Amino acid sequence: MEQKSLEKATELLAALLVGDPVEAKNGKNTGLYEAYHESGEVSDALDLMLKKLNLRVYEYNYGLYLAVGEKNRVFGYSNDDLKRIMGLRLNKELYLCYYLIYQAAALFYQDSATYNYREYIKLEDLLEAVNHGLSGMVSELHRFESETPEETSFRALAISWDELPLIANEDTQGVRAGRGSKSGFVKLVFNFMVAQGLFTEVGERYYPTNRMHALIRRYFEEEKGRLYELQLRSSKGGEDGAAY
Amino acid sequence: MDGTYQMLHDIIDFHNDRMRNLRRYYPFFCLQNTAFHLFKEGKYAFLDMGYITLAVLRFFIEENQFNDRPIAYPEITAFISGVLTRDFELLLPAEEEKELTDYIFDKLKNDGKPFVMEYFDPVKKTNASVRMKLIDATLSGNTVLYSVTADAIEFYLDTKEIRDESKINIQQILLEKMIHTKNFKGGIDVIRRINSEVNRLRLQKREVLALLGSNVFDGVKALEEFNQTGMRWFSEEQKLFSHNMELMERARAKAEEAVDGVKDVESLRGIYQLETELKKAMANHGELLSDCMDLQVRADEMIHKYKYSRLRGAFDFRGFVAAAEEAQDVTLLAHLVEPLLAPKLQKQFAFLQTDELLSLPAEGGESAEVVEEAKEEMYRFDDEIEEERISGNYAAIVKTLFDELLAAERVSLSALNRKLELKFFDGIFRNSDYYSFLVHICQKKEYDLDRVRTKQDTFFEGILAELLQESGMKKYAGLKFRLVMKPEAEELVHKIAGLERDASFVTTEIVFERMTEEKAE
Repeated sequence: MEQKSLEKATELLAALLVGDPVEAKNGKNTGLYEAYHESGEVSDALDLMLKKLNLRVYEYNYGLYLAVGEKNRVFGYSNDDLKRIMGLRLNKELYLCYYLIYQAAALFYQDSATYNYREYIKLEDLLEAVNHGLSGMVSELHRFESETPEETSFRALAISWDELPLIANEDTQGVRAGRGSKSGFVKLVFNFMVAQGLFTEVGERYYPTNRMHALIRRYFEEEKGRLYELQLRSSKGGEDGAAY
Repeated sequence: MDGTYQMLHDIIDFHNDRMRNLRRYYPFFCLQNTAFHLFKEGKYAFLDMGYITLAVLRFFIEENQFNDRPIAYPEITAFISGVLTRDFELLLPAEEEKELTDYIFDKLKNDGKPFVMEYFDPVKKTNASVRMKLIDATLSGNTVLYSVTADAIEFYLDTKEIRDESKINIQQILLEKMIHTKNFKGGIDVIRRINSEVNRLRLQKREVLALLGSNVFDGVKALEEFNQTGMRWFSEEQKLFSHNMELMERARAKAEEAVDGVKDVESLRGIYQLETELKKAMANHGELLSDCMDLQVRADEMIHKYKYSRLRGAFDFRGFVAAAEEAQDVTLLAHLVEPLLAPKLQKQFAFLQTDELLSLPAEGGESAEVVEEAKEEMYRFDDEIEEERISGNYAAIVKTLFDELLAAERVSLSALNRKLELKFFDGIFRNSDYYSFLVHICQKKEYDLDRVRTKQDTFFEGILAELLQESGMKKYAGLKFRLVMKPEAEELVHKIAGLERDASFVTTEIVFERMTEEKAE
């Protein structure tokens, strides 16, 4: 392998890791994108390095996007990392944020192949989606007696959501990110997703980025076998399919 | 024995059901008991929160159910303050009133949280809790809209009506009795209650549909329950409605039969009103029926779509989450979320610069501010400049005088003038320093230059002492002289060119006499 190809591949990896966009339309890294496409050596070298680092790269709409593989101890996040980044304190708050992120993605994608042709979502849309998503659980809480549920159960998640007021303060204008209210949580999640390059915000409207499309379409398509197994295992109540 | 068993069965096995029903009353008594005791030191403890609660609920039902619109915050506070002034005759300043109504409303919605009632579950032998909300909120744009919950409606209706699976049936039977007994006014009330029940069912239908959209399994369960409690009575209800219409027809015909030539006008009016209300109720009921048909169709569609998507090759997010929900394990959500996150980077330096780290000196460190040594600049005051000029001028004149004195024992002022004129031209006589020199030198009659070095009596001597420090002045060491004033007749007149008027100055002739000749040499 030529030194030059290796050099290009390393450069490409570095750009992907720091989160610089590598797109055909983006001026700065157009050369890198072309090198990946035109030279088999460059793409092979990159794929090899990514494989060893437990990373993946996906192509979508003339751009390359990086995803972190399952159980990546270097580039993956621990619960504590995520809590620190989002400013949360409890695990159940983190799970609630997971759920909000899932609902936000589900507003655009029912599954990894069906795009809902929705241009953007707003804060209220996500609020409503989460309310609906948890309504079954919440109405069950209201209807039947419940013991104190486990922290990692959906019932606990529904309780923490149900106990949050819609907004923190009646008089303040606009919604601020925070842990004190439903809308605060939604805003917090939106801010996090914007920081992660999954959404872009224009005037309180959140548009999914190419990165988001790429990951949803390609990652889950590739990983569906493993995830189904996990799903089956969890529904059988067998081995605990918890994340690392 | 059997009786005891039955009793225990009633006590233990039905306890949860009973608590579930009691739950609806729990918020009311919570509010009734505690609401005002802690607010403003019990200043408003006389207000009856129970009454306010029921009033607000009725207001919500009116707006949400009958007028079919949610309520914004200002409307609620306006209504509450209306209740306070009308029913409790409480007239407060605007600010305090706002505080009070805000407090009441916060209490009613329990700060956004559900009311949780704890109790002992005798079947599982654990503590259990039931939950209930009176008011729900949704966000629309930047405004929060409030609506009453189905539970709260049930509670409100429970306070005056009998509860059963379908209330419409019971009400219909009630209505039938009312028509028989010619209690048409009561009949109208009954019909209104039927209407509110119909509205409640429509709300429930909407909830079922929302549930279907998010979770098909839960949705199907809710749909079945709805069908059992609500829809199965529909045909019977329809029959009863038409039966009641018939009854009404008969009642009207009877009322129109003139008894002794006098029509029962009162009854006729009642019947007419009742008929209108009943027609409205039937239309409402019809709408509910078509709503439910619609619900069935949409539910079938959703279930079909869900089945279809389950069979597709794509990864199904909803299916995955539904399985996670079933397993009650939220940690599974991490598998959906974590792949979306950007790689975590702990390194603080740019990846591209790793090789530059060794070869390049660190940049971007904070450099200290460079303080340049600046020369302290002397500021010269105006009087210092003047003094410098004066002493310079004096030095020139004094040197001339001393030179003359060294040459001759006596020097007259006129001779000195001539010398000065030669040296400095006649411009010197226009210089005020010349005259001030004369004034200063005349302050003393005698000068001893050696003594002047150590002790100066006058300003002039001060200047002299400084002058004598200079190297070129050594030749004047030991010089002593005195001034002799000539009589006024011998006045010197200086003609000064350039001055227009008064072009002359007059000074007295002075003779400078050297006193110690031998020393001077």
